[in-house]
Amino acid sequence: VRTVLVIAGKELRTRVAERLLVALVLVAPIVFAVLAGLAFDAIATRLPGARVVRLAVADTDDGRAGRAVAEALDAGELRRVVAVRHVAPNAVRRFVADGTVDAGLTVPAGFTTALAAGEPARLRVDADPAKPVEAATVRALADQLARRASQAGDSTERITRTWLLATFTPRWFTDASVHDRRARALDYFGPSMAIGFLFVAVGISSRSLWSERRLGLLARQLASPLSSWQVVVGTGVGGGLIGAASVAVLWLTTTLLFGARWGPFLPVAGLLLCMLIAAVALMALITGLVRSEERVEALTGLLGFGCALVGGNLVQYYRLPATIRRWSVLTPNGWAMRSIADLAGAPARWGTAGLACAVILGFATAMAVGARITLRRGLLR
Amino acid sequence: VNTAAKIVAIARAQIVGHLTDRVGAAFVFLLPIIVVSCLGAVLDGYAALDVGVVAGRDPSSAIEAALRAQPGLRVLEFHDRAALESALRKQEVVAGVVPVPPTSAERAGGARLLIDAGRPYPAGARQMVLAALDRSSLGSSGGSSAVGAAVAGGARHGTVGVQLAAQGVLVIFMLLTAIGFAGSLVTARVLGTQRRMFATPTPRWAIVTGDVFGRLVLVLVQALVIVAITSLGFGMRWGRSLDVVFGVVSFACVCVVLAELVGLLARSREQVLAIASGLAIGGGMLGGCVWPSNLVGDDLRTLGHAVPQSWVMDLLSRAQLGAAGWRTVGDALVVVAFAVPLGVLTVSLSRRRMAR
Repeated sequence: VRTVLVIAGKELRTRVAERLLVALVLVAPIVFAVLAGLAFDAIATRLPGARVVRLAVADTDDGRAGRAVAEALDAGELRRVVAVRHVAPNAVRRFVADGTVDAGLTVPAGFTTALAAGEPARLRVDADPAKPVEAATVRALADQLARRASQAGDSTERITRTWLLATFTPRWFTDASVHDRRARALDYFGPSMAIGFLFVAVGISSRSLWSERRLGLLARQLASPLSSWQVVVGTGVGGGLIGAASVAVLWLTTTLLFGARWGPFLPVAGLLLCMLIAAVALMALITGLVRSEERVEALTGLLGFGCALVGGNLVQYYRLPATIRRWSVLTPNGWAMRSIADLAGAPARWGTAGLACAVILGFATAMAVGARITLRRGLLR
Repeated sequence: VNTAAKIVAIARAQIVGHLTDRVGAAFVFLLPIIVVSCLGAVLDGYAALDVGVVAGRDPSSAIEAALRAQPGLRVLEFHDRAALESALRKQEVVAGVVPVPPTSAERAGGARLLIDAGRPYPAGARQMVLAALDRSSLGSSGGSSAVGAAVAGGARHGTVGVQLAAQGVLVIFMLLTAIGFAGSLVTARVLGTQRRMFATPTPRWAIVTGDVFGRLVLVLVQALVIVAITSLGFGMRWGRSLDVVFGVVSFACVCVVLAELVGLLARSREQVLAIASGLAIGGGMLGGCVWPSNLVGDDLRTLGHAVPQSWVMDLLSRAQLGAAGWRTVGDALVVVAFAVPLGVLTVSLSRRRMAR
């Protein structure tokens, strides 16, 4: 073990000499945390469904009902749903097409007359196909307004802004909330970025083994009374320590600057430790599989990006499509990120984190066995 | 052999060396396409809002049927309220509907909309749920929809997700590839290959030009493959070809100059890897490649224009909307302007470092 620590110390000193240690442990975690912290909260309020829909409204009806519909859209409860801009009829489609508004609603000519005659009331919705949620929201609104207006029958004098708005607060429908603390995107993406840092730090150290082989340093180490696994594990531990330090800085930065809560300390720390072990094993396997430094870099990028993409590091786990979520069980990232998301849902259930840790360690063991075989045939030959 | 032929030979060696390696080629061409398709699928999921409903309670079947029929909603079933609340906290759903059993006052029963107040209020989801339930047996009126809807069709084609993801992935991978391959510069310097080349009767500028030219061709070929496959395979509409060419070529210039600079400054390939990841992903975050810049605050958007990624993303977005025109040239010039000081610095450093 002492030998492993000596080699890990050598790895750390190398990174210090390359000025990479400061970059990986201090600069990168703080910069990424600040950028993500500043961006995520703003994004969360602007995502489809979360922000107010910009709506162009044109009233071509020359009657009471049409006027009431146009006014109702800009009043009461609906102000939390749409931001209305009253425009000329011929401008609605143009504004939608050039992105000035998200959708358009036109009260057609003869709307009031049709209602008085007992015919179905129709409102026209123009929407950008690239904004399906906004389109569906406005259609839902128009649907309710039209149906409510139809209830007046031929008594169109009943149709006022207030009378129309009553349909949006029915007594059989109530609102409730599950909890009050303001959740932050960094609660999830903090641990997610941490896993990314672990992979980068360990990946850089692992590929240095090939540099050492090229320069003849590896052969010299193996000629001494050192076992090959001590060299490989020592290098991995060195990278792991750098990764762990960058995770600690990231955790502190996101918590202190942005008030993020990564979840209960022990389960999250346990998951990250297991991911660190898995990252070391994966990088050892990659180092054993390839035959050149260039290939280490390319394969690390391929597998690192692939696992992050499928495992929910780039997008919240439960926002992944069902197919990708099924594939995510094949990656340690998938188990870790699912567990992080589950801990946010029910922090008391540590069992999910325990199962995830066991599975991740299983991945690590399998990859370590593979690395032991492949390293003997390749790097350590 | 004249100097031009030497430049081409050096560039060719660079290109062939990188493209004949299968793993390297997979990273350059295959990975960006996989990332675009996966992110595209993920972002397409945002085309509808996930809403949970507690099943098995009267009048849940009517409510569930109404919600499933509502455009813009995707319904997930939960066996009890606790499971639904957990799903809300995990962001599996944006809102939940709990059926309320009938009472003497409400013979048809009712419904409670659950939201997570800690997250942005899903006003659109509430509206769609209300519209669906209003149409169901719970609503006072019933009856079918009376809305005539039309869309401003033809504005954009293809899937929404790919339209959002492809530009950012293109920009990130162009820089990642260019700087990632700068590791070969470090190896050439460490192994003395570079000094041996300088010892030949080839002008120093020709060696550097060949290297830069080879890297430029690699990045442009990568961009061409990404644009072609996303256009033909995924229906991505990039916009007017000339605008896209301006954007890609100007950014490729920045990428290769930056790669040369990193190759000169880095002491090891490990440093190159760390710098490549930081500049490509960190710069991508700042420049609007990781998330649309129109979704972040004004301050961050303004700050983002300190990096070339932001300008090229602006250019590509305008090209996609068909609103580029002469502004394309201006944006492309700004992008190239980033390369000028970097190029001057690279030339001055290379004179000193390569002479060692």
